[in-house]
Amino acid sequence: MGKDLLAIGNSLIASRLFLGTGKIPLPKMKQVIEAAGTQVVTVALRRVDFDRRDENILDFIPDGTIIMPNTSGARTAAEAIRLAHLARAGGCGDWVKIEVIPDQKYLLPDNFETLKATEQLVKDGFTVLPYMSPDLVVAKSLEAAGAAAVMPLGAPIGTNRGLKMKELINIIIEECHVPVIVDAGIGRPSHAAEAMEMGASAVLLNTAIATADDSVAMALAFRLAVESGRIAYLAGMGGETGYARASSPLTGFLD
Amino acid sequence: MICVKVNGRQETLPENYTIAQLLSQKELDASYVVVQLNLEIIERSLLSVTTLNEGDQLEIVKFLGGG
Repeated sequence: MGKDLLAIGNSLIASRLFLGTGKIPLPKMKQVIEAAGTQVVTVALRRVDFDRRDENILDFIPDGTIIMPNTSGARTAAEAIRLAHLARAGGCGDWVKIEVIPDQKYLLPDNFETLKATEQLVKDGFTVLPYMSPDLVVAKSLEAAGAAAVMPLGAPIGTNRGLKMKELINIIIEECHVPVIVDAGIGRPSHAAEAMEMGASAVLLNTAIATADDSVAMALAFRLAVESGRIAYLAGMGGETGYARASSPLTGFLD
Repeated sequence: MICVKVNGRQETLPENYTIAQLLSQKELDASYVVVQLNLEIIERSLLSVTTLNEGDQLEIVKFLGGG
């Protein structure tokens, strides 16, 4: 098999496991990223808390990793646009994960504001990856607006419930030309493998690894699952049938 | 003295105080933060020549873990 690289923006990426860095202790960060084999990580942007002496997360992320700041905390397109520009001024490149979330109970994104923010940030020269509720019309609109990928949620953020939106994500994978990255809700390696088998271009997860008892081992488990699902997708899976089909020859039986 | 709002908190600072001076007073490394003054991003190279004025609103942000 030749190199199976994922093209996003101006980058070619070998690892289809994108990792959120939330809730991962900084001293463990490098080990987790390396075990996951990940090349794209998300970070958030927040006010400095003058009462705390925090270390800088960027010091714990291996060189060469693509850093994708998110716009978490934004409730409107305008807030997301402001955060994206602040993040770019932080010097980590031009990738941005747009996250516009007005609802605190389910943390579901506002697709309309997300589209507005995408349109503007593409014009401003960002590589824009919007987090979205899986809706085909919105996904196509995001694509038309110049999004580098679309990132439908599998289940609400941090729930570890898997691909609850499977049917709708499937439609987006079928109909969109940009990479589809399943973001949020993936709780187990089997969920990640399932997304990749469906033809997702990548998955983005955070909580499932960060809250595992052994997050380094879990990062490896997800890496293998993502690779396995991807290889299975490329290999072309056999179809399902309602009745049994013998695997062994039905001739030459003994009397 | 002047009154400036820094990350939502009122601070009293000397006149002609630069943003770089404020960062060093807060023991912050300028290369780790992004500064927005009255909604305008201040490039790092300009932090030491940008002085604060009465009523300015300053946001100092940094990256941290997030999904």
